[in-house]
This record gives sequence, structure tokens and C-alpha cells, in this order.
Amino acid sequence: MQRGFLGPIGDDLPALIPLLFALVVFFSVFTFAFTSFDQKTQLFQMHLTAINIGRTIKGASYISGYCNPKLEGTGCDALSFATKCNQLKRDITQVRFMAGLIELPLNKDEEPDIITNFFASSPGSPGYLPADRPFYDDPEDVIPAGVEGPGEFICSSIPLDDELADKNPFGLRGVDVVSYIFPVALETEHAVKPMRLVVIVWR
Amino acid sequence: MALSFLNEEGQAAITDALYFLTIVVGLSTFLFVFSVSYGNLVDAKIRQAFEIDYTTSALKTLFYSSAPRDASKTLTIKEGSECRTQEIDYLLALVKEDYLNGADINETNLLLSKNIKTVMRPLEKSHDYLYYMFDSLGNPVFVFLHSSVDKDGSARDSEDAFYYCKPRADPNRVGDSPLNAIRRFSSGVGEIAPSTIESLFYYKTGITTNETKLTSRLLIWPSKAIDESLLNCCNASNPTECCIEKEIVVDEQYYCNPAFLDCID
Repeated sequence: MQRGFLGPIGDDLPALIPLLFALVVFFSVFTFAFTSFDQKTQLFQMHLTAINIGRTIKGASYISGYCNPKLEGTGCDALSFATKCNQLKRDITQVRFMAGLIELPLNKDEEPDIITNFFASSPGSPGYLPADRPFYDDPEDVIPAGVEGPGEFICSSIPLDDELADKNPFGLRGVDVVSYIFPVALETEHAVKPMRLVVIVWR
Repeated sequence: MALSFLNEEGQAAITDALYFLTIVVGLSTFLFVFSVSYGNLVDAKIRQAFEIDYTTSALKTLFYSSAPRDASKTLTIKEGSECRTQEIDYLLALVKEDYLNGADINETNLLLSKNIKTVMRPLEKSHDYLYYMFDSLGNPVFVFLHSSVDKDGSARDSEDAFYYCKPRADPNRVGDSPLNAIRRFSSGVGEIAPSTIESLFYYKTGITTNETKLTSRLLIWPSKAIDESLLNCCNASNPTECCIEKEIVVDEQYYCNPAFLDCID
């Protein structure tokens, strides 16, 4: 018998350790990269969807009212909020969304108690609060009252019922939320007012 | 001899494995770095798309909005339970009226700055902005600047700073213009998102209809320390400092536009 010979595999046993280690490293990194690509791609899609929702609702940055009747035929005209909302509900099916108007008063002191700047703090930093959380928590409170009736300028892919708070995407683990704000002019009974269009998208 | 040969075979196997490990670790590192940085460019593009969308919407909202003819008043006033509209007009109409009344923006300074502040409020803590209007000859007629950080780049303790500016051509540069001064300033603030709207105003002199053009431009950029003196600015909240016509001397006194003195609110 040859001394030290463990057989064809046994003799290469030490070589198998770096080999297996290399395979473990490769597949770990591969899985990480694949998951990362997938998550980022989904997040980009959500950002683009949110921007598109904003573009659809604001149109030329002028909203003529909740539902202004068409000059000919029935239904609301193309600049009406309701028309754009119905179009969005039909087209956006991949993600959930909520969009609505909040007053943007000329006087800063009349600003609703809401954090207006969602870029000012980043997720993970202490005190981070998405601008739109109060908007979600109680949309009827922040939608301008007296224009067409409270709560009308809101467009949502989920029903606005009593269980709305249970479906709140903010604070839920594993739920990506994207939000954007755009300025928009709203024609009211008295004047054309600058408003803030808030768009929230989540999956 | 045979044993020695076998040992060499074993060493070759482990050397191959170590080579393999090195190559795989190299590839994995590359894949890891790539996956971590993946999307940074897309992210920047999405952000830029949003910023341009925002500035375009802001400019349109600005001019579509109603404004009281008297800058010190509000749009509506409450009388008992009734809400009564004050004397109002579109801001663009007021700007046109003001501009055609002397090729400058004098009366509507305050209205314009108030409305600009309003539409830009959602971004004011993270972005700075410059709004300017210039005529068809390239002369700036209204320049309004916002800065949310101090000279050292830290966030301001007090309120953000707002400036009225009157950019001047650099006499040391041949063929320089005030618009070039704005361009030089904006090239130094980093990545900007610009939006432009042109307004064509028609007016009659006698029986002929003339037209003139005012271009409005809004630039935003992530907040950073700026040197507002490049634009010859004065702080809008300081009435003693801020007179847009300060280079106009009447009876050895600086002429101050009264509307600007109201800007302390």
C-alpha cells in the first residue's frame, strides 16, 4: 500500500475546500445581485408610474374643476379631475395609488400642519416622515373644503372607506412607497388657486 | 519516486482550486459592485425628470393663478359666512399691464415673488431656485433668488433668504450682458433643472398692433452655498437694503420701489 495515498478523490480533498468556497461566494453574490436588480427595477417602475400619474392628473397644470360638463354630449370635460381620475383607474393596474389636491395657500401661516418637503429628510434618518402621510391618514381633512365638497379631489385605486387606515402603506414592512408633489392651478368658484397635487404609489 | 509524483499532483489540484477561487472572487466583486451601483444613473434621470416636471408645472401654475390687483390684499375676503372675491385678475395679465406700462416690472414685484414662493414651497428646504424674466433684447426685468443654506453650506437657522437681483454686465468682458451674468451664476450652482415659458404680449399704439415678448425662466438645483453678489442682489426681507432701482439716483437719494418695501412679510 502506498503511504499517504487516500484515493483519487481523497488526495484532492484539500483542493475541494477553496473550490466549494468559491462556488458559495459566487452564488451568494449572484443571488444578491439578482434580488437587487429586481427590487431596483420595480422601484424605478413605481417612480415612473407616480410621475405619469402626476402628469395625467395635472395635464397642462390646469384643472377646471371636479366635473365640468362637456359642451356637447354628456359627462365631464377633458380638463376635469374626474375624467383624468377615471382614465387612471382604468390604466394603472400594476400598483396601488392615491392622488389628490391639497391647498397651497399664498400665506405660509395658513399652511396645513404637514411636512411639505419629502426630500428634506431621507428614509432611515431620524424624524423621517413622508410628506403625504397626513394626506393618507385623513385625506378628507386636507382636501380643500368648500370647492366642490370635501374629499372630492381625491383619486384612489382603493376604496375610500372606513378601513382605509388599515390599508395604510406607510409604516408597513416590506412595502415600497413612492410619493411626489406637483404644483397645479385649480379653477374654483372665486378664483384660480395654486394647489399641491400629491401622488402616492405603493406595491 | 511514485509518492513524490502523487504529492505534486495534489499540489497542482490545490493550486488550480486557488486560481479558480481568485477568478471567482474577482468576478463576484465585480458583480457586487455593479449591482450596488446599478440604477444610480436611472435614479438621477428620474429625479431630473421630476424636477423639470416640477419647474414646468410651477411656471404654468404661477401664471394661471389669480392674483389680487392690490398686492397687499388677499384673493378672497370673508364677510360673515360669505366668501367675497376681491378685485382680481390672472397674474399674467397683471404682469403684462405692468410691463407695458414702462418696460419694467414695478407694480407686480411683490405679487410675483409671493406667488413664486407659494408654488415653490414644497421644495424650498431641499432646493434653491432662481426665477427671472427677460425681454426680447435679453434685458432681465425681474430676477428673484431663493437660498436655503448659509455661505458655509449649512442649513439656515432662521428663515430662508430671498433676494431681488439686478444683474449687471461685467465691464471687463467684451460684449458681456446681464443675461450672461445670470448664465455665469447658474453654471456655478451645480446640476440645474430649467424650464422656460415665453409670453407674447400684444398691444396697440394708435391703429397698429404691436407685440413684445417676455421670457420667464425658472432654474432649480439642490441647495448649496451660493454667491448672490454675482447677481447684484439685495435681501428681500431687508427693506433698507432692498431697492431694485438702487442704481437710479434721484436728488442724490436712492429710489426705492414702494412695493419692495412691503416685501418684509
